[in-house]
Amino acid sequence: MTFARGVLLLGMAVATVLTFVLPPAKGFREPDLARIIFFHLPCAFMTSGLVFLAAWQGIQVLRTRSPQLDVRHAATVELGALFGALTMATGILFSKVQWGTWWQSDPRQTSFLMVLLILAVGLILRAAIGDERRRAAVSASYSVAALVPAIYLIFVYPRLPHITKESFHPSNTIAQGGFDSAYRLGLISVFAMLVGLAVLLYRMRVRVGQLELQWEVTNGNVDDFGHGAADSRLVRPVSVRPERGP
Amino acid sequence: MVPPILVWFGLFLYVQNVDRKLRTLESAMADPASRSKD
Repeated sequence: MTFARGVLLLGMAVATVLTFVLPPAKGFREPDLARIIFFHLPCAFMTSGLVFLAAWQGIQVLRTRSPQLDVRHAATVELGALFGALTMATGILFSKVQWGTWWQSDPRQTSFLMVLLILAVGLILRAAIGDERRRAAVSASYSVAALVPAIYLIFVYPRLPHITKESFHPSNTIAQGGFDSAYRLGLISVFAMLVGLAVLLYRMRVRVGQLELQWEVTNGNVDDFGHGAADSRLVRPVSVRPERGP
Repeated sequence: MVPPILVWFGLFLYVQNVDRKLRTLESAMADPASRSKD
């Protein structure tokens, strides 16, 4: 595990240096600053992949009702939201340097904001439900249901003809050969490192979930470990009327 | 320079958070008596 982490760290350093060494991409307003795409695009790919994985795991959780699968599903939901936030942050930086403003209200920017909100609601939902079984079922159902709007917002809406005409997003620049093979190498390198890091994070997060499950079996509630569950203890009303004397 | 720092730092923070939880749980599982629940 330590060796894998070392290799990953080295790979991240090499990939980052590579993104600065490669020549600027032509076809952008600020070719030198188009390097943001090296980080933005792989994060967006990761988010899309994790949305699909969460839906698949959601189906598995609903079929089996297994707490172990719910732990895996929870890890995927968290990672999806994390990569979604990173996609949005790098996209906002791209907007500033290429379009001159932090928020362009570009259709693609707005549609991804909606995707990010969908992912955030997934996290809030998990944090809001105290009962483990109910949390697993509701969260899994949400992930499955969220796949439909996510597919529309990520793949369909930005490619509608009138949206493509209005949008500043450089999807067309990329499709029309704005990136040469060297740029593709940079993109693939960063993407590979992000996949490696996501696998490492996923395994760590699943291990945390499994330990929490074990702890709950042997010691009861695990809320004090920051599981994120709402306090499910009941407060019963008690009569405080003073007793009348004889 | 900002985007790679942003991405790697964001992921690093998450790693730190999960790693801290993992260590806490592992030590609690190893020695449950040392941790009081309330």
